[in-house]
Amino acid sequence: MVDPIRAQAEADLMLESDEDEAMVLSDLINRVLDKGVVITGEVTIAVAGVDLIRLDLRLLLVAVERLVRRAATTEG
Amino acid sequence: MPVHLYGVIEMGAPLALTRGLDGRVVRVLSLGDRRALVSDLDESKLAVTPRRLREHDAVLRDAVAEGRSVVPARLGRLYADDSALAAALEAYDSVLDVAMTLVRGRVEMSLLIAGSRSSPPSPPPKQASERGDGSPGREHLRRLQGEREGERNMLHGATDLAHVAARALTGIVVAEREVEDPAPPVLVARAHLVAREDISRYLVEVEAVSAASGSVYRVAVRGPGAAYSFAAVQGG
Repeated sequence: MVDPIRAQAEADLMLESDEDEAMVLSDLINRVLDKGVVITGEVTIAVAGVDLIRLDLRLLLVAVERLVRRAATTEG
Repeated sequence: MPVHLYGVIEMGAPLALTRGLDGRVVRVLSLGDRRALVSDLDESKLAVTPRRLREHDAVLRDAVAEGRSVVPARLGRLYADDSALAAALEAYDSVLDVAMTLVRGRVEMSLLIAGSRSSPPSPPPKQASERGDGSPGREHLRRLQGEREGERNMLHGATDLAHVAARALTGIVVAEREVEDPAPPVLVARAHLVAREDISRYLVEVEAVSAASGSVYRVAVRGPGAAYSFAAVQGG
């Protein structure tokens, strides 16, 4: 069983020197701010424990969002 | 008072008290079977600073370190008050369901590749005697051309290295996202969605790639953190 805190410390050891400070800031800008990313992978997930499906992550979120909007329009 | 959203977690054991933007206490707002991590804010518009980026991220890294599955929000997601936040998230309930499924038991690792301090410098401009042309303007242009060529070569090498890493991480990484135009000094950045139990394997593989890359590049990892690149809070 992996201890996530230990793992995090191990990972951060690779970025602990002063010269890495700029790399940390770069990572924060890239991820914590929404600069835009390009999908290059897929993921297999179980939705509601029913099925395993393989979907493009971005399409997945967009598709669900569209369904929610459609449902709201229908109900309205 | 405006509230700032850090992210959404599932109901579970209480989180350790933590502080967020501007040192404000992070509150846990109950939303059905989910919990929103929020803090009050004095401003209705948020100025982005390096310190605030760190503070925002630290709240979610702490939650991840406590073993929680986190659907993160990016910095600057503000709501008029708790009620407005609850209403906005309720409208995206189905999206949050999917996002939570995606991040459950998983974390995001950042693979960062930059030039090292010992990277080879750009080729020096040729001497006038070598070129047969002593014009200062032409010399300047040649120097610029040499620098740009050096930068392009570094970028291509970093991209190749990311591909090598991707191959080494096959079977460990659930999904990968390429960060477009990463902020300097990072040349190439990849966000990786990884199961918690695979974090150690991930680090071992990246360290091997780093060791094999020589001294031209600096390969580093940040994480585990919240999965901003895969399941950030939508809407609101």
